[in-house]
Amino acid sequence: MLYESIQYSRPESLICDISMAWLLFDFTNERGDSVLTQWVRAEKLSRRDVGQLNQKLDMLKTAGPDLPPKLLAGPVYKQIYKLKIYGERMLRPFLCKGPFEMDAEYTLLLGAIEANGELDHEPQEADKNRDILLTNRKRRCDHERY
Amino acid sequence: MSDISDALRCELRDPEYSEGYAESFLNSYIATQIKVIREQREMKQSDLAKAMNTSQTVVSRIENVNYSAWNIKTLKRVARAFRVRLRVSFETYGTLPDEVSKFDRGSLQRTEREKDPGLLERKKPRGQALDEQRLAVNDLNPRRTADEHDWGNTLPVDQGLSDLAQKGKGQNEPQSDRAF
Repeated sequence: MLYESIQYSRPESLICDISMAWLLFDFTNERGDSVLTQWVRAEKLSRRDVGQLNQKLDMLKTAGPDLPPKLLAGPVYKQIYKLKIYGERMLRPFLCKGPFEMDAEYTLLLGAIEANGELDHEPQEADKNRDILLTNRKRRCDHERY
Repeated sequence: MSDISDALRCELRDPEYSEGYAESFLNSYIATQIKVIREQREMKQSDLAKAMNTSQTVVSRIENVNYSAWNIKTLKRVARAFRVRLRVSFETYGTLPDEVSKFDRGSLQRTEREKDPGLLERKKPRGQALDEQRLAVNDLNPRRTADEHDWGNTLPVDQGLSDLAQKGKGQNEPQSDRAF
């Protein structure tokens, strides 16, 4: 048959799920400063490592925790997760889902660095920050780019 | 996501920062796309491993945004298993902010070769279909040129070759014998 009409089926590639953007917050110290921004400065992280860190956080914000495989590790303690950055230094910032809007936000709680298989801060410290935040909603700010 | 794009356009001017960001995005992109296409095919990791002739452990290892030891050979095997092509391309940093803001499941999915709309035969334009019908009639009676047929103005193009073939097989054959 020379002439054939073709029924086009809807290509699967056109079926897109609507991904919701997640909100990111930083836990703040008593003066209202982002503890993560303070940590990045105090540790004098290289710009390369900061680029990697920001990329993972941008991905969490735009795509959420489920689309990129193994973006978050954990929970490593109670409701605490960590990001893994394999850079010049092994950055392991701790964060939690919510803690107020559990399906819409993450809060970065504490910066940590792993060296020789050991963390310089324990996830329990991050969980304490989360508890503080739960009792005082003002102890966080919009996520700051580093 | 324009806030991220705007910030990135400025940040990516820093050479060290841009390299760190872009390399991390590349790793995340590949790992996520492998997972997304595997799920689009309704395959388990073990199914993909079988199609790649490798172990499920290998698939689990590469479906990880923190994996960075990619090699072309492995990626080609993944592409073959998904029945898509692999494209490796060098890009400018200026295109990165848009890629970051458009990163979602839909933008990562790819249709396999057999269902690829770009490869399906398309409906032919009216003129081309008519030309092919004329050629087909010539095939039925190669001694007669297409111009000698009475095409008239009434032959519906979409009627197709089947009608012409009927004419050719039926009363037309003896008539054409008489005519020549």
